Amino acid sequence: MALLRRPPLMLILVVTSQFLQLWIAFGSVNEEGQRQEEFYEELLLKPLPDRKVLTHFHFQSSAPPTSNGRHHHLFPKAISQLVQKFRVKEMELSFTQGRWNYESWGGFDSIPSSNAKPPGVELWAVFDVPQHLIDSLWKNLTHTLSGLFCASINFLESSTAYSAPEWSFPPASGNLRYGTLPREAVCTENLTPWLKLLPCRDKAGISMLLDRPSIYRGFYHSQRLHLTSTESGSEGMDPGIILEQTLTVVLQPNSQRASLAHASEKHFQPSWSLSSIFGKQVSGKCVLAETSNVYLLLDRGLVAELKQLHKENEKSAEKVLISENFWTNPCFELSAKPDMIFIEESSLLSKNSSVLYKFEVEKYSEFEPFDLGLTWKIPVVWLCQQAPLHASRFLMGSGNERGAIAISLKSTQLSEGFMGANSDYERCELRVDVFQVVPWYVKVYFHSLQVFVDQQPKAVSDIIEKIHVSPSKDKVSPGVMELVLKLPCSVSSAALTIEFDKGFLHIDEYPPDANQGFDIPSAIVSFPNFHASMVFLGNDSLNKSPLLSKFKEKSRVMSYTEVLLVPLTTPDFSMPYNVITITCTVFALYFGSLLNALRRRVAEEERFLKDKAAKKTGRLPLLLSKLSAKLRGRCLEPTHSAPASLSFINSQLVLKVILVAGLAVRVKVRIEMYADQVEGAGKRSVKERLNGNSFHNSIPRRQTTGKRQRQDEKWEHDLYHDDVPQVSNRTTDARDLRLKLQRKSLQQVSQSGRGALSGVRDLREKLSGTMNPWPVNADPPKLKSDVTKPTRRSVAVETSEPEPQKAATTAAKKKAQQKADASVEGFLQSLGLEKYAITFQVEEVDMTALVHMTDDDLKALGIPMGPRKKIILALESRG
Amino acid sequence: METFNNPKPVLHLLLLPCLLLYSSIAFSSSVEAAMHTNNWAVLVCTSRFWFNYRHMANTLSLYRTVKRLGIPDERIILMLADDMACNTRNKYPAQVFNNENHRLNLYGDNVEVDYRGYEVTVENFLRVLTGRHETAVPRSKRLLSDEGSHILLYMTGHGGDEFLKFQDSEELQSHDLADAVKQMKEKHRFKELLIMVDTCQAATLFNQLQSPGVLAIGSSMKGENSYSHHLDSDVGVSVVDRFTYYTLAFFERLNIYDNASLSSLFSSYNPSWLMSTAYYRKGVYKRSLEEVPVTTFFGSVMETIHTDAAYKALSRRNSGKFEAQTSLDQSVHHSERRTPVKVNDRDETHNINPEGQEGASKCPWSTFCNKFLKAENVDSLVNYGLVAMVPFLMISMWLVR
Repeated sequence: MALLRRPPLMLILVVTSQFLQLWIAFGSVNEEGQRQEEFYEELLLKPLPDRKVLTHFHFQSSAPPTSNGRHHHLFPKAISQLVQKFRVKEMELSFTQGRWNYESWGGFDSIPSSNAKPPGVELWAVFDVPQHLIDSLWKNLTHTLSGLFCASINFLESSTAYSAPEWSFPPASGNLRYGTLPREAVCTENLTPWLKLLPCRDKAGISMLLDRPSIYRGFYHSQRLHLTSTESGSEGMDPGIILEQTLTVVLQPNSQRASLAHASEKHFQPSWSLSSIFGKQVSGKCVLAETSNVYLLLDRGLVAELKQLHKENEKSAEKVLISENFWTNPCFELSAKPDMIFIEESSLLSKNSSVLYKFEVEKYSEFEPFDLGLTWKIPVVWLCQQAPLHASRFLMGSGNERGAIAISLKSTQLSEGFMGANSDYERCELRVDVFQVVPWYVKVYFHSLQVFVDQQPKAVSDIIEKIHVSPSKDKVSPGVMELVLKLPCSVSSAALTIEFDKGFLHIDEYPPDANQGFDIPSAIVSFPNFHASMVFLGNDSLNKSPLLSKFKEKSRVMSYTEVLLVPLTTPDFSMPYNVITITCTVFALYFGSLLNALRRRVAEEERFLKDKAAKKTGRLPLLLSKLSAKLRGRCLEPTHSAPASLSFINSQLVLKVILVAGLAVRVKVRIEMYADQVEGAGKRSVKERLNGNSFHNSIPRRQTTGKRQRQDEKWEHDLYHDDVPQVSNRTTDARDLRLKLQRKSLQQVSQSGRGALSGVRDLREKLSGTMNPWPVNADPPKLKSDVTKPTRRSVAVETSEPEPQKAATTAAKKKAQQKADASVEGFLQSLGLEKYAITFQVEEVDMTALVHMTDDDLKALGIPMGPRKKIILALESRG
Repeated sequence: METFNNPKPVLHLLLLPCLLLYSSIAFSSSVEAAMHTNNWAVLVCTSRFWFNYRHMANTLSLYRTVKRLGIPDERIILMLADDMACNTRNKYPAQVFNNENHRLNLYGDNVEVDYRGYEVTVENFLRVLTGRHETAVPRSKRLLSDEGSHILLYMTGHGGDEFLKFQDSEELQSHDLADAVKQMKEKHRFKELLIMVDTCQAATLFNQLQSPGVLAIGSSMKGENSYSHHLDSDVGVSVVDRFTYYTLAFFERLNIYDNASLSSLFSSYNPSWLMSTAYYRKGVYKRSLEEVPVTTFFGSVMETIHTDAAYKALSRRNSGKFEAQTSLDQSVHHSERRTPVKVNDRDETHNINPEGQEGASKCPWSTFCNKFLKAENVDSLVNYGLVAMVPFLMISMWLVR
């Protein structure tokens, strides 16, 4: 709006200066000095020492701060809405499968330190709001992201799942929230929405390479989304956003050479090309992208190795490396000519520098697609640059009660060189930050922290410079531990151990696959003294590339440890049912005996009453007592003699003892068999329905409930049928039946002269249209079709499947066939065209309708020429 | 304020309740006579673990079918209890097949899974059906159906007598399902609902269903098992269940323009192929199955209305409002007389014309009406009301005196 109020002269000047760019780009006049939305796409390829290839896709979209509302040209609207709604200052979301192999793929570059991620989902976000609002924003953000990326990120909403690191996590600030879901599956449905954020999706440009099966076949893949919102310039301006999307995939190229059994060939690195690892090629750039480049990076170790080889060949290595025809050098060959070659600025740390080849995708088109290939001519072995310490983590202890977590740091040989170069070897100190989150059910005792340096226990205060601990609260928050270690530079190994108790979860909190164990998220080990950065010497075109400027940034060297799997005490989920039945039995015992006691008193009272009645000789009481005696099933004893009553008591006692013994036996039996059913309940217990097959034999009580047992077996059969060979009698019966059926079908085939039916294909083959040649069939029109064969009276029996069809007698079959002639199915069957029956069935064509059908009608049904003619001929002959 | 001496504002005040009445009646009538306006599908696979691969393949096949027949992704709620496509045991990463010939990758590049893994619980399932979500839950995870929706609910997994297992740890009872459906009916969340279940003893799951407009079909009767169709020796497990397989066999021959009826689908299930008896339950479903094309549930095929004049094919609710507005001047005289029960286009045209002849003072009146209607904010309404009070006051004062 400000623009419109300016003097027209100014306006004209501005318009003319930017005329071309603005009109071509968006067909509208924008504000002066306003940066446009930009999109860059880049791909970095790097051979890895262990015969693998690293591919790193880097897409960057940026939206400048604007005041023109929520309209975007290239920038994904979903993301800008997210930033506005949740006031996100910085956010990173990564989906990863596999583990970054720090030892062989390197740990010191920019790629591992910012793109190697823990398995599963990792999300952190910095909010631009006061502290008390952050948690609710975080919750809403997780839900939104879960909807956006088809993942269960919303599990991070609960306070037990996220934490707020104070200072050890790199973009440290109080407004940070950090959460991981180590077990989240990553698949196509996560990648697709991620790709939909790109202006060209995966339809054009470098992203065309992203073939899903090849990506997910890789050893490691990590898709990452990082966004930073810059401060808005003035009031009413929406913040500018930079969205960085990276996909890092480590793939193993299929090498033909590996198949050669030659011993020396084994040292050859596999040759690869884009089309061999992705199965696709790049046909031109995404037209919306500013730049679209592919880079090939040879890292320091490899270049040093190549130089070495060159020296052996007595050539001046330096020159060959930069010279234009390097791409056809004696070591390897590139299938495309690089547009530019850059050499890394040699740093203090190492003498060698990596080499970068740049390829511009712009030059290629659909007719001449870009396909970069690398063919090795000589065997090369090299090592990637390592982080100063290699971190790994493991569990100690045994049993279901307690254990210990150990983080071990091992010095890598490569780092020693830098250390020596850095400063005084004796005095120097290596700073290591450790950030560890433990879920609440792993109850860590922070006082038990022990530090070992070079296998010697050290005082904690000597090594740990700074520590921040927030203990977990049960079902409220996880435990967080942040440490700063100061290790001597000469350290060869260091270890931290900390003990924990395993907690108990409520029965509702167990996941469905609790027996698999519970995950402790990766610890983050970072080295604040070391920064990974790669500065390439070259012209300004390098600065325009977001990928290379990302390399230039000094990022802290970081590594993630493994995810730990802690087996927790998982209850036998039948326990509740056991408890219920045992409790019921105990109650029955208690009340039974109580009742008994009460009854005995009644008997005494009764005697007393009888005495009284005998004295009184009243009629009514006598009758009553008689009645009650009858009800109790005992004859009224006329005698009141003491010995008689004594014997009566004795017999009752015996009865009671027997009763109690019986009950005890029953209780025992129930405990043994995890009493699956409350007696008298008509329905099967849930336990039985859930897990009906856990106990089969050795329970005599089972035999009484034959019906139930049968159902159980059925249940089991449903679970495992077709997968597991069965051993019960039932299946052998079934097998018998199958055998019989097979024999029967064979007989039928041999008996009936119609050999055509013997080669009937499996229905499923037909459905999908696999065209197996029919072995015996001489019926040509049947060949070309992919339809079902719906006739029920078909003689064909699928020999591969167990079909419990009632074997009809041949006589009955004949009869049926005669009857069938009246129906469409029968008619078609008589022509051998039963596979078209479903077509008629779908269109609800019966015999009367069929008679009136013309050739065109049949054509409309989609019936091929041959069968059509046959049907018409047959109809004519009938009519 | 030029209308100060005009008696018409008084009439207007009288009109207001009439207008409200009209619009409410029009609204309620539109609820009763809801048209089929949209299609939704809820596809649920309730089984975890690799050996239940076929259940996921079942669900994904149905997903593919309904997508092919025209239901868009945002109207499909897909729930998959486990990740089979990128499972480490899967020899074909990011691919799922329902046939051993591997011709069709069900897990193509554009699958949108709304609930997956641990999220597939009975609670979430019932929340989706009844629409009782937390406020934070995004739209893509909600079933935003209305009284004009046809919903397909497909479930597969392991079941038994009146229950369906979720994730091997929970159960959905037939009572729960019936209860959820009843709630949906009361909340006007569907017009017609087809429940399709492929489990053992699937028919028992419908025992408690009572709501009208609900059709249900199960793969097997009580006491019967539903079997898998065939084993894929490359994948190593069975890849599809029989009932679903033959359902797909039926649909593979159809395209979006076919009008095969539900009864032809239901009669295409051959018990000897299924090795169980497919059972369907019509309940209180009014239409006869021969007349209902399968695409009413499995596709998104709408009835279209041809109109000659432009702007006549307004949605019902709008037309109701429109009528209430046009009948404004007329209703001065006989506001009680007209009670529109069912609004349709022909009525509307009738209404507009006579009014033109009737109102002698139509032109100034209507301009005023427009003005009035344009003054949308409440303040102006209140002002008008106050102004209208003045003549009343004067008259009453005069009468008292």
